[in-house]
Amino acid sequence: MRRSNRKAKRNKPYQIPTTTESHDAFFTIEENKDYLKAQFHHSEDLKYRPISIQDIGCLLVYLDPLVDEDKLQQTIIKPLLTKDELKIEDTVTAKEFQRSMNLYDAVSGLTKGFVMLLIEGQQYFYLFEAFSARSRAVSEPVNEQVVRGSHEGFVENIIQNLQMLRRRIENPNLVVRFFKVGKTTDTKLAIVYLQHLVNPDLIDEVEKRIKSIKADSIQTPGYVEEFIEDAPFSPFPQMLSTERPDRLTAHLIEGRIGLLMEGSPSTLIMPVTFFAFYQSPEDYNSRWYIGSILRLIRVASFIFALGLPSLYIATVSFHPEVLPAELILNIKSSLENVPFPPLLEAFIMQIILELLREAAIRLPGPIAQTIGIVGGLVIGTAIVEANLVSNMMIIVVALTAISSFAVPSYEMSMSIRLLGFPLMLLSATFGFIGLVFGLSIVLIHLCGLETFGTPYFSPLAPFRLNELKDSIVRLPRWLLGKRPSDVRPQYERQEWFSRGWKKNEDD
Amino acid sequence: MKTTNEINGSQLFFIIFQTQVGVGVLSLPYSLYAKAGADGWITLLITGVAIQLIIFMLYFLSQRFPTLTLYEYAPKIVGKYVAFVISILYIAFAIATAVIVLELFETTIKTWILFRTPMLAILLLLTVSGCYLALGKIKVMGRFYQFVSILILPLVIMAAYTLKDADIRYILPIGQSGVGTILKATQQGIVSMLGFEIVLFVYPYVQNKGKSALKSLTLANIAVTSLYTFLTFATYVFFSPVQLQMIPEPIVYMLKGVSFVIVDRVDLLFLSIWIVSVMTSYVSYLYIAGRGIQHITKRKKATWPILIAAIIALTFSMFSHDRYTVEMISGYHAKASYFFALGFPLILLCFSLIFKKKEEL
Repeated sequence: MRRSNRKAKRNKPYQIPTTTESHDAFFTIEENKDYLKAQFHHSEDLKYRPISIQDIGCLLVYLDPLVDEDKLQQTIIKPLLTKDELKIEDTVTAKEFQRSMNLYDAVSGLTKGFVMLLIEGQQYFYLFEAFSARSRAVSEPVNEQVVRGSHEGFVENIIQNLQMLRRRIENPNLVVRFFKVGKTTDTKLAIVYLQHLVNPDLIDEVEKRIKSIKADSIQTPGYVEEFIEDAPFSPFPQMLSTERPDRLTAHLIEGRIGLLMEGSPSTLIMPVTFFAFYQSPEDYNSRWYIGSILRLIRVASFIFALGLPSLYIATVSFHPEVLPAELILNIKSSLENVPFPPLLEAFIMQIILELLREAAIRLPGPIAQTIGIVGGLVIGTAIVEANLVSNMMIIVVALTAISSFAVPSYEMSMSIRLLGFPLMLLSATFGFIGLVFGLSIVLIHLCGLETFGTPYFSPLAPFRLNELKDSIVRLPRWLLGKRPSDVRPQYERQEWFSRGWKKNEDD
Repeated sequence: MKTTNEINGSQLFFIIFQTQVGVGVLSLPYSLYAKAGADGWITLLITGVAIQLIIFMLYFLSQRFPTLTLYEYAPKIVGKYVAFVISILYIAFAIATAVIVLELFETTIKTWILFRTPMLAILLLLTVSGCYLALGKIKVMGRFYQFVSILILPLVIMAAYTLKDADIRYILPIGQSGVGTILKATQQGIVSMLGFEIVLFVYPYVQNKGKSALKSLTLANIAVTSLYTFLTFATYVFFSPVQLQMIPEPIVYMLKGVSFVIVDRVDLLFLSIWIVSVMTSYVSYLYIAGRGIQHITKRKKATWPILIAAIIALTFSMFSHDRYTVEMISGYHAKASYFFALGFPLILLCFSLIFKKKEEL
C-alpha cells in the first residue's frame, strides 16, 4: 500500500504528469502560453492561432497532428469569428467542451486532441474537442507484416504520421522538432523523442548532424541516413527503417530518437543495435517462450545466411574428411558430374537467386508468382539435371535464402547475403582457416562499430548478461525491469512490480 | 560522437586471458613432459602461483601510475635516455613475440591443414585481420576478446570428451620426478603462459582501477592456469609415457582420434578455434609494439605505428624457418622474456619505491 502511494507522487519526469502537478491558470495569455510551451518542451507541433473576439485578444492552442482541420474551422474558428460574442458556450458547436482553470487539464486535453481557447484577462479557459478521427485507408506495410498485432502503417503525410504517434503516446513530453533540409526541395524532416528520457547528448548530436546536411535535395530517408550515419562504409545498416508506428513507439519509449520525413512512409530509428533488426513487434504479442524461440530462430538464421554456403564450400573442397563416411559418399556422388568447382556453383545459384528476387519485386503479384515457378521449379530442377549445379548446392543456397528472408528487416537481410560472397571466396581459397578469418573480420567490425556513441553489437560486445533477456530471447515483460542501457537513457527502470497483486493475493 | 576508450573489469580479464592463451598451448604438454615427466601438470599449478606473484608486482607498479602506460611512466622513473632504451627493447620484444606467433602459426597450419598453400598467404591472413583488430581501440579489442572467449568452451568440451579413454595409471605415482625437477620445469611453464605483462600497457584504460582490477588479473591467472593444467592433464592420461615423448602436438593428436556424430575430424575444428586464440595473442603484441612506436615517434594516432610493427613482424617471419630454427629462436626469446615480464618491471618498481616516484593525481 505504501509503495503504491509513493509511486503516484513520484512520477518520472518523462512520464505523463499526474493530477498532483496541477497548476492554476494565469490571467494573461502570454503567461499561459509560456507555461504550455514549457510543458511541451517547445515541441514544434504545438500551434497557436490568435483571434480577437469583441476586440479582446484570444488564443487558440492545439497540437497540430491531433486536430482535425475541418472541425477546427467549422466548429470553432468560424462560429467564434462570425458571431463575435464572448458567450463561448453558445457559440462553439464542438460536440464536447470543458471549462477549467487548471492548466493540468489543458496539458492532458491537448495531448488528446482538444483545442484550447485562452481569453486575455480571464483565468478560466475552454477546451473543445476537435480530435481528428480521420484515419486514412490504413494498410499494413508489406515488408513488415505480422500475424498478430497492429496492422497500421505510416503514410506519406508527415502530420498524419505524427498523429499516429501522438495517439499512441498521449504525453506532453513527446517532443517534435522540425527541420527543413534540401536547398532546392526544402523537405520537412521531424525528429521525435521523449524529453527527460532520451540522453540529452544524443539529441544534440542528432540535431547537429541533421543541421549540417547541405544538399540540393533530400528525397528519401535513405539520403538522411547516408548523411548522418557514423560508418558509411560499413555493410551493416546503422539505423532501423520502419513503416510501423508500433515499432517506432516501442523504440521511442526505450529512449531512442525517431526521424520522420514528409513524403515517405518509412521512418528511421536511431541509434539502434544489431539485435533491433532481429526483433519484431509481434514477439511481444505472443507468449514469451514463443517469442524467445522465434528470436533464437532469427539469430540462427543470421548465422546460416552468413556462413552456410561458405561452410559448405570449405567442407567439400578442403576438408571432406571432417564429415563421416556415409555423408561424404552422398555429397561426393552428387558432385561427381558437376564440372564446376563449388565456389562457382555457389555463385551461379546465388546470382540466380538475387535475379529472381529482383525481378519478382518489380512485377505485380500474379506475374511474380510465375517468376517464382519458373525460377524455383524450372531452373531449380533443370539446372541439376543439366549437371551444372549439384543437388547439395541447391539445398544449401535455398536454406541460405530462406534464412536471410527470416530477418524482419529488409536491408539487414540484403547486407548479410552480400557479406556471404567474400566469405565464400575466402573459404574457397583457404578452407576452414579462411572462413574463420573472414568471420573474425566481420566480428571485429561488429565489435568496433558504434552508432551515435552506442556500441552496435551490444549486448553481446560489450557483453551485458542482464540485457540478453530482451535481445537474444524475450523473457516475460515483468522481468524486463530496465531499459537497454546502450542508449544511456536518463531513467533505466521501465516497469515497477506490475505483478505486485500476486503478493497481496497470497496474504 | 566521441566516446570513452575504456575497458571494464571483465574485459580486462579477457584481454589478459586471451593474450596468455595462444600458440603455446599446442606444444606445451610435450615440452613440459620433456622437462618434468608425467608430473608436468603439477608444474603448471606451481607456475600459476609464481605468476600470481609477478602479477602482484605488475599491479603495484601500474597502480603507482594509474593513468599512464609503461612507455609513459618509464621516463619519470629512470630518466629520458634509459627509458628510451627500455621502450625500444619492449618494442623489439613485442615484435619478436609477434614474429614467433606468426612462425608457429604458419608451421602448425602447414603441418595440419594447408600443406601446399604459400607461406606468405597464410601469414598475410593473420597479419591483415590482426591489424584490423589492433587498429580499433583497446575497447574494441576488449569486446572482441570477450566475445570469442566463448569458443574456449568447445575446446574444453572436446578435450573432456577424450577423458573417456583416459588411463589414470599413466601419471601415477604422482610426484615421481621429484620436487627439484618439478620446480625446475616451472621455467618452461612461465614461458608458455606469458602475456600477462600486457597489463602494463592497458592498465590506464581500465574503468575501475585498484582492487577490482587486481581481482580481474587474479581471476585471469586462475583461469589460464586451470585451462592449461586441464589440457595437459588430459593429454597425460590419454597417451602413454612413450607416446608422449614422440608427439610434439599431443592435444591435436588426441583429438584426431575422436569423432562425434557428424564430425569425424575433431582436430580440424579444434585448430579452427585455436586460430582465434592465436590471433588474439598476436594482436596484443602488435598493440604493445604499436603503442611503443607511437610513443617514441610522438604520433597522435596509432594507425601507422601499428602497421609498421605489423610489417616488420611480417618481414621477419618471412625468413625461411623449419621447426628447429623456430625452436631455437623461441629458446632465446624465452630467456629474454624473463627480463620483460619480470626484470624490467621489478627494477622500475624498486626505483620508483626508492626515489618515491609516483604519479601526481
